[in-house]
Amino acid sequence: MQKTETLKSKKKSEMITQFILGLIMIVFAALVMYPFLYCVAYSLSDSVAVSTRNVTLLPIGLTFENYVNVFKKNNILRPFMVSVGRTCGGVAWTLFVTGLASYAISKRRMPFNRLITFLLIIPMYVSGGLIPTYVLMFKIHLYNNFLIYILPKGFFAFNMLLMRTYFDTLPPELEESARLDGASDLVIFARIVLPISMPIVAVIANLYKMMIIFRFSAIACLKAGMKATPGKSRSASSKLSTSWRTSCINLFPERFSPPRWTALRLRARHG
Amino acid sequence: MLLAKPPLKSNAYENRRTLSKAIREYRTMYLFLLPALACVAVFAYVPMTGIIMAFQDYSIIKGISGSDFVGIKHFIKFFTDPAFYAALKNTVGISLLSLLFGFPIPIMFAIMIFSMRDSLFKRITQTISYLPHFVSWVVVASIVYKILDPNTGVVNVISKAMGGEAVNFMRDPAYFWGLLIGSSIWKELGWNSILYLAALSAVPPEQYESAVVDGAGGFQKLIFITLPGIAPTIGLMLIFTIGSLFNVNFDAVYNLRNPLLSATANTIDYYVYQEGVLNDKISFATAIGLAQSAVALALVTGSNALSRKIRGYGAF
Repeated sequence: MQKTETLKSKKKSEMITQFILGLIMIVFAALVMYPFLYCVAYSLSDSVAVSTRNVTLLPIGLTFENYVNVFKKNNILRPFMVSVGRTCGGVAWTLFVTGLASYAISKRRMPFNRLITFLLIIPMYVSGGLIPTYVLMFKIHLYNNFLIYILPKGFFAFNMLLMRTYFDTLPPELEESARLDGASDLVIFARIVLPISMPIVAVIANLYKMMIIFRFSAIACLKAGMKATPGKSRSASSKLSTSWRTSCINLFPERFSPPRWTALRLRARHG
Repeated sequence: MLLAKPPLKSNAYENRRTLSKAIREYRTMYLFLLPALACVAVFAYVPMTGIIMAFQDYSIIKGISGSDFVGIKHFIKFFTDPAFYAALKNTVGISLLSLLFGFPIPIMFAIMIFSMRDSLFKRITQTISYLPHFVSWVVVASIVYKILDPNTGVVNVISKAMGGEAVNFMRDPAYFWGLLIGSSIWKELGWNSILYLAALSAVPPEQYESAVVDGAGGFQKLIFITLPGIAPTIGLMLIFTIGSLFNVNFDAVYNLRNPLLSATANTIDYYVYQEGVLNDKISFATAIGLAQSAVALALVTGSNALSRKIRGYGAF
């Protein structure tokens, strides 16, 4: 009797917790979503109406003219496709490089493990700076080459450490039994470790977007046809001072704003 | 039981043999490391030769090989520049505050999401929380400027309607730190919680079940199972956050700041940008960058050593 009583009260407190959690989440979601809705409303508003009245949630003088203009005048499709290609290629390459390395690093018994890890981590904090990087890209013919979006960003020590932390949690018996069955390291990695590591693979694939450092592509400022969306939206924003146009281009997800590298770039080319 | 073997003639010889044996045993692993090592060598270590510029009066026309060496002139110069100390103060202040607020919030958020029952609602909130991450800082800054506008911004419209006075947030340096940290949290909260969610889902459910059998309440489960379960991930993140104590996201500062806010908005990274790119003192900027890297590396190695000592393991 008493037991059912406590069970009931437990269920009730559980329900209250869930209710409070849900309430917090709704407030949070509203806070996150509002600026987006604001952006959408702004980009759908009539540009004249916007200058006289305040947009809060709904567009004023609904018009799709801004979107039509973006697609017509700025030729947004090609840069957008470059963004897509760069992300797909980059994710595949980074998973290949980082996945293999972090599996190797997770073998703590391997000789020189800590030394290698340390060598791989140093570049997280020390970099040669812009000009040597630019000269290097020029020398190995990555300048004006689509591969500059992909190859230099294959490896991030941070991603490797995350993956290693995950590999550490896998039970060692799995590998040992496979090894007894005569499987080689490569087979163990591809057939046993990788399939159960999909959660972390997904995380790394997601993180990749975060790690893309715009500066690389900014200094490599490619032929006009090869720019990705952020460069494009930046050049559009400098050309058009009215913010409504940029605000609809920028609804295409991308990160990072390139600072004014152009002056430096021009000079570096002669260096 | 094996008896201890008498020492061989040459211990070094024996060691070398076991070492080479171990290396051969792990040869596939070294092969696995090859692409990463090649990537880092070419794209990180080769450009690192540029560090030499910090000790030169680098001129683009002469190049690294032709420029004159000047020793630590640039280091002395920035250590005696009051503008550098102002930037240092801002950087450390912002970093410490965002460590205090920005670090624990994603963990709390991840735990809240994790303990939600309704899976559809859970997934929707999660997806919404990732959205701001995909917006570039240019746009975030323009939204911040629009929302905080003294005449038309929503915040001031509401505060005026309630009888308050309009505040010009983007002209008063007093608000910048709060604005920067607040908008960074808004932008990256959901995203940063992904890591902790992945760690949370790796905690074995049996632990929770046996805790419930032992009569543990929600709070006790949190303290004794959830937090210890994700402690390695928290520790790893903490080591790297401490390492970046002298860095503040440049994109955020660059887009949010304006000349009126320079008293609180000039960080070290901005100072480097100002001197190196806008004023063309490339060697000077490289010297500051180098000092920054050295401090960051020392901080990371130090906090890693501390973590090894306290918890028995670290990031490397």
